[in-house]
Amino acid sequence: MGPKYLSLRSHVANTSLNSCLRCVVLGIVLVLPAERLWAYEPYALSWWSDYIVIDSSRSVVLSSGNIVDELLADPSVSPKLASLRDTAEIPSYSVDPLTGRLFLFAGKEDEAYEGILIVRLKDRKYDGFIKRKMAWVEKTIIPNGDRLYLEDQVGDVGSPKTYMYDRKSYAEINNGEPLNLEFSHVSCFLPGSGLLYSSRGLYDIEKKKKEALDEATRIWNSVELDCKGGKVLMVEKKAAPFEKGGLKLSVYDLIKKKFVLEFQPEDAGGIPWSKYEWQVTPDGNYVVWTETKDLSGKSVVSGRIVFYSISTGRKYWDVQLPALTERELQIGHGYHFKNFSVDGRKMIFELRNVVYVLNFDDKKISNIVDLSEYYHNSTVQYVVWP
Amino acid sequence: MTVRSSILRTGLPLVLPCLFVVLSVSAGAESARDLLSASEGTPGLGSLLGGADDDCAKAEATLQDLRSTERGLSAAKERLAAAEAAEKNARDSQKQERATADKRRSDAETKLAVMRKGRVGKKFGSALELKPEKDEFLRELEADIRQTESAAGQFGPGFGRMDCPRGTSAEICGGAERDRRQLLGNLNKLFAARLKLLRDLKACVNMSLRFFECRPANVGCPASGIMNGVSLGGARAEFDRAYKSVTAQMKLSGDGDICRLTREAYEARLREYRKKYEGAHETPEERTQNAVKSAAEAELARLDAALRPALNERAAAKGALEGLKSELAALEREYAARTGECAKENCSPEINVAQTDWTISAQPEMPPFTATSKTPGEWTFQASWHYNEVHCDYPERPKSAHGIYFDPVQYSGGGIFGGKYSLKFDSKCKGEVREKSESGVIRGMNPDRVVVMLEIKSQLDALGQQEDVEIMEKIVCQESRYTQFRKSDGMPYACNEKDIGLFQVRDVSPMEKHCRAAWDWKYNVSKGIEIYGWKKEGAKNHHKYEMDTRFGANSLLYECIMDNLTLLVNGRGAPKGSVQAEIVAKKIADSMRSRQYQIAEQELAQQKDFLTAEEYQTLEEKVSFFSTLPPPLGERKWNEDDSAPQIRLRNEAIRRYNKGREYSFVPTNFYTCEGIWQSKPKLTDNIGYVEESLSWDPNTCR
Repeated sequence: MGPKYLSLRSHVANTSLNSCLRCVVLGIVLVLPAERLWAYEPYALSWWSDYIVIDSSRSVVLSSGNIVDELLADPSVSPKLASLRDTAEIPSYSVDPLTGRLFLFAGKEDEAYEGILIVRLKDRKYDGFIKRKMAWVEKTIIPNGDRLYLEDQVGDVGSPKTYMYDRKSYAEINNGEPLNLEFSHVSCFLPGSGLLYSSRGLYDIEKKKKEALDEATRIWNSVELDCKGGKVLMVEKKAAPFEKGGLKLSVYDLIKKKFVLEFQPEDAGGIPWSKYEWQVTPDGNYVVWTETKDLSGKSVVSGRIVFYSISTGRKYWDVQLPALTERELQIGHGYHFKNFSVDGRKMIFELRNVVYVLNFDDKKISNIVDLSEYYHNSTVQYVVWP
Repeated sequence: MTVRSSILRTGLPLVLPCLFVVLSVSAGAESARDLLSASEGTPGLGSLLGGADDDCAKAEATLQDLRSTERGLSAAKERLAAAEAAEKNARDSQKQERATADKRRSDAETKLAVMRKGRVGKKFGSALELKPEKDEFLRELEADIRQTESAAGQFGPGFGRMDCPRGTSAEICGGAERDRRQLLGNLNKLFAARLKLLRDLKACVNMSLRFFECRPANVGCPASGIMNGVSLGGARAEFDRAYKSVTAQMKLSGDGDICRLTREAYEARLREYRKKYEGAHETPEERTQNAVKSAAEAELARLDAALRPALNERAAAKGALEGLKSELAALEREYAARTGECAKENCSPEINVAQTDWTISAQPEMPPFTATSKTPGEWTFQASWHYNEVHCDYPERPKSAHGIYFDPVQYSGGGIFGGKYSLKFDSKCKGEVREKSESGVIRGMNPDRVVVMLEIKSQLDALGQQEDVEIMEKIVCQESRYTQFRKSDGMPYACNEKDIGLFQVRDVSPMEKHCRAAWDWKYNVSKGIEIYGWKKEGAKNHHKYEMDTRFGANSLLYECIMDNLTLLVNGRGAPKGSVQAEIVAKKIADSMRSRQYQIAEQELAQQKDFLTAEEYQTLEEKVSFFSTLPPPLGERKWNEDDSAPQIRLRNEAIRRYNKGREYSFVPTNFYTCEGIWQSKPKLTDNIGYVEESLSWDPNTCR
């Protein structure tokens, strides 16, 4: 899909069509479905803005390179990125999967970020630069509706600040006036709305008003684990809540404003707050347990993934990725959960630079892509799977 | 060219080319050629130009000297190379023995340090037992001070009535008076230096209970210095007599450094006292380890002594070479002054180098890279190695240097450097500049793995950080597999944006230092150790930044605190109106997060009216407790192994050495927010870095 569109674009650029004919061609392009315009192949990205493009149909590498180097080599773009020459480290990424835009937080190690470089994933061309000095800590950009939300933790007093940008033009909204809004580790937008669930309340960003939820008592007596697709996954609040056999989970539906599921997974437990151990799928249909073992104080993802249906409360799929070797267990090296796919139906894991794509809709491992020969002293940092 | 060839063919004396240039400047090439043809076999022509004959003859003589010195230089270089090879052989033959002795000494020191640490508390008090010894030492010190003062006093009168000896001329006697003043000045300086040393030592001994730890200051006062600027005239015998009498009183003789001799004598005494003190408190195990240490030190001293002849020869060879280089430079200046632009050889510039490509030794030392030309001219040189934003140019801004002999290392300001180089030589001929250039490569040679290991150990020993030896050896495996230079081309091993060498050091600023880390592997080791030291400090303070917004506050802990405060502020834990309670709780938690506890206290005080005394007290206690979270990474939890905190600190430092952060604090008790430090690597490009680093066997890097 992507290459076809690219070849059409090249053709337009290379011919000396008169302006009228160009309008016709452009018209053809514009009437293509929106999804087609944003199409791009899967990407594996690493620290230095090195990229690998993956052919998802054959699970092989299509091409590789370095995004920043390519941009700096382009004379039409490089003057705009003069500051990047000195701040070439790209330690953090964010992706707007729907528009196919990659946000690269650029800065020097242990210093401040200079800003955010925006690149189109379909052709890795420059799309904009948001200049903003930010502390060198992990950051995300959260896209919703026609806006991008950027949480900036720089500040000597009080909470982090959230800045809003236009999702297409990247212009700052409210003249750069920050919102007194904080994305907790469990925050999510209600699908198709501007309402944000954060810190046990629904926040209306336009009205700057927070609403207490029904069943607040029960919510306050639980601890949130994840929020996606309009569902909040919680665990009962107690001194040792993750004990195997004693784990009590519940799912709160933000649209129905009530608890829709309460269950006790028998063979599952947990390491408190292990990243991504307990999640909700982006479609809000499943609770996922990524089994994590505690090996000498280190949380190791074993490769066993269990899906529970939120509608039935039953186990939906219990799958094991290739088992970890003795050596991996010995040094505490396990799988890393990378992301959900853009369509929200796949989970992506990585082990020693091999990418595993788990299609839970079809209950199968749909892709295994070996990228190990592309990495020597680093690992895949981020995977974007359309 | 024709003219030059004809000169060469005719074999004219050197005077003719000089004359030729002078004439050609005024009359042009054609008329000069005419004159040259006419001058063949005409000896008196030089006299037409006044002293030109003479100048060129002197220039020729200087040139001969130059060439002879240059030959001497080659011989001196060969001698140095032979001495270096001999030293290397001597070192290599001792390598195993030295490593064994070094290890035995270090192991004994480590054990002794542990044992001493165990009884450090009572150690101080027991020094009181040496009170009589201290008094005795002070008495002797004071006597020495008095004696020195008295000796200094004797010199003045001794030389004050200097009569002119019979039969000595007035001129000589006048000189003797000047000498007297000079000598007195010199003596005053010498005695003042010794007195200062003694008085400083006395002050230290007076103030310190553990007086045997005092050290005399390292000042110098060579006895030979008292003759500086003294011409002696005819009065030498008088001076000698008086000088000998005084030095004899001070029990010193010869031209030795009086201060050094004094210092050594006192150091020996202090060592004795220390031994006495330590001996009195030595446990049998310490005695054993001290014996092992002494034996190892004796072995090392024996090895040093065996190596000394080779070292002396090398130093002598180097000194001779340096001397010749200076001599050559002086001759070049002289030759340049005499010849100006007249030498016929200038028209054909030449560069002589022994080889085009050179290698920095594994020592590391620069190769003996020098260049010569037949005649003086202007030299320029630059060696460069560039990698991404690392630009290493030697020298940074080349300036021309004049002469017949050229030493690129000296010219570039010394140090260890390499890369591709270009060497250019310009000479002037008839107002035109003629150029010759040479280019090549200076490569680096990787040191043996064992040598790097010994260097790491020795640097860490010097810093008293023996506990880091194993980690640093593993890190060097992880970072470079003991590679400072690429095997393919001998250039520095560089990765990513600007990570360089054995320890892949980066952000070593200014650029000059970064470049030094690229070419000088020992410096790279020291930077690696220094950087790891910073990372250890960062790990110790890791907890301070967990709640701090500027460093990416720990949202889990923050939320746990917020939750608890919200329920407490709300009084009865009821959810109604929890949004309002949440705002208050948030203010308290936020001020704690930005480490502004006084704001938290103010917010807290405002809640007094809304809560019962009991509720308020609970809230106050909770806030006070929460502000102690998270605990330091190195603090042991009651249910942990003793080693767990040290492992955390080590792992955090290793992670930070790569980049990123290793541990996050996670609350496990949702009522108290107490929790554990969990390994959750972030801001890293290699999640497995810590595990991989620790899994290396440094002896094989496998």
